[in-house]
Amino acid sequence: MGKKEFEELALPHINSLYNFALKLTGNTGDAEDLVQETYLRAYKFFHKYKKDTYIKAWLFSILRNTFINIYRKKKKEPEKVDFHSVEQFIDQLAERDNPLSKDDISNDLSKAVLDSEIKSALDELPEEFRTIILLSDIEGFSYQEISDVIKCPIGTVMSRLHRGRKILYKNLAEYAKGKGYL
Amino acid sequence: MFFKNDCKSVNLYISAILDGELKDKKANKIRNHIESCDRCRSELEIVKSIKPLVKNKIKIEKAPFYLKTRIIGSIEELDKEKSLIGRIFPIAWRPVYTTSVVAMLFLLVIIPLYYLSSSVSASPIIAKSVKNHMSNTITDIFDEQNPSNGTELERKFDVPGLSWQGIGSPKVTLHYLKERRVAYISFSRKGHKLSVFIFDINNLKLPEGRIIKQGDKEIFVDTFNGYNVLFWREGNTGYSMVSDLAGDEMLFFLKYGEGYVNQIQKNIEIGTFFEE
Repeated sequence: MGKKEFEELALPHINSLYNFALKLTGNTGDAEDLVQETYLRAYKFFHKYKKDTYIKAWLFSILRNTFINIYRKKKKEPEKVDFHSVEQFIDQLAERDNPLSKDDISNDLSKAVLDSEIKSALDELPEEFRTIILLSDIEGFSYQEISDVIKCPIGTVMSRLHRGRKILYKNLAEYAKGKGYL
Repeated sequence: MFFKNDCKSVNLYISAILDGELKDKKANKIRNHIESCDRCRSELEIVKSIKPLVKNKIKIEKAPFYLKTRIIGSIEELDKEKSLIGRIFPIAWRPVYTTSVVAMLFLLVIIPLYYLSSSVSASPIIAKSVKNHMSNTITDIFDEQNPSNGTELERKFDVPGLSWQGIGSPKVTLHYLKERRVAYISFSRKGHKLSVFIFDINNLKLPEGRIIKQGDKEIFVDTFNGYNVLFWREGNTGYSMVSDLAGDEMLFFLKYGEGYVNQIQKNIEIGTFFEE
C-alpha cells in the first residue's frame, strides 16, 4: 500500500482529527503537531491497517495513543486513568441514592447556558469521559468503534459515556443556577 | 423482571437506550423499567437533554489550510530518509547492520532492564493478576519460579450482607493455595467481574508514580490489557484488584467492600471456609 493510497484514504479525515486533537490538547499549536504526528505514525504503520476496516476509527486510535504517550508526559493531562478526579467521583457515586433530578429544572437547559459554557464544561471533564462523549456525539462512532479506539470493553464505554453525560449535566445545571435560571 | 430496587443495574444502560445500542429484548426490558420508574425516567431525560447540546452547540473546528500541505511534506521527507538509509546501508550490508544493532540493543537496553526489573517487581504481579482474572484460574501469582505444589481449593459461597452496586450477596468464588497463602476472590455481576488477589508480599517494592491515596492507604493504579488494576499492601500482605469496571467504581467497591474482603481473609486464615 503506497503513499498515494494512504493519502487518498487518510487525508479526508484531517478535519475530524484536528477537531478531536484540539479538544484533547486545548490549543491550536499542539493540536496541529498532534495531527501531523498521527499521520506520520499512521503512514509508518500503514501496512498494519486492515483493509476495508473503518480507517477513521484506526486514525483516531493512533491519535489518542500518541496524545497519551507524548502529551501526558508533558504533564498537561493527568495519568492514564484519571484518578485525580476519583475522589470527586466517589462522592458522586455515593450520591447515587440521592440522584440528580430533572424536576429541579424548570427551564430548558439549552436556553439557560451559553455555548461557551458547554464548551468549558466539556473541557473540564476528565479525558476518559470527554473522549468518549466526543467520539459518540460529535463523530457518531458506535460503542464498538469507541471501544476499538480507546481499547476498553464495551461495558466500560457504556458506563463512562453515561456517567460523563451526567457529570456534564450536573456542571451545566450549576452554571445555570449560578445565573439564577434555575 | 425489574423491580424498583434494580435502578442501579438499569442505570448504566440508560444512555445505551438513547444511543440505540441495545438489542430489542434487552432494550424492551430496560424501557419497561424506565416507564415505571420516575427516577430512571428523569435520568433518561437528563442524558436526552445533554446529547443534542454536545452535538449542536460544540463548535467543530476545521484544520488550518496549511496543515495538509505540512503533513504531505513530512510524509515525503520520511520517504526520502528511508531511501537514504537504503543507500548508506545497501542490501548486502543489512544483515550485519541488523545483528550489530541487536547486539547493541541487548547491551544497552535489555541487560540494564534485567537489573532494573529486580527492584521494580510489582508489574509481573499485576500482569499475573490480570491473566488469572481473565482465565479464572489461580496459578502461583507470587513467584513463578518457585511454583507451589500445594493443594488448590475452590469454593463458591455467599457472603451475607455484602452488597455490591445494589446487588445483595454477590456470588463469591474463592481459590486458595494453602501453602503459598495466595487467595483469589472473584465477584461477578452482569458480565462484569472484579477479582481481589491476596498474597504474601515479602520485600516487594511498589513501583513509583501513579499512586493515589484513599484514607491512609496508598494505592498504585495501572491499566493492563484493558483491565484496571489497583494494587496496595498492608504489612506483608499484598492486594491486587482487577476489573473491567471503571477505576472509580473499583475504589468505591474497595471503600465499602473492604470490610468483607477482610472478613473473608480472616476466615481463610482461621480455616473456617475450608474446614470440611
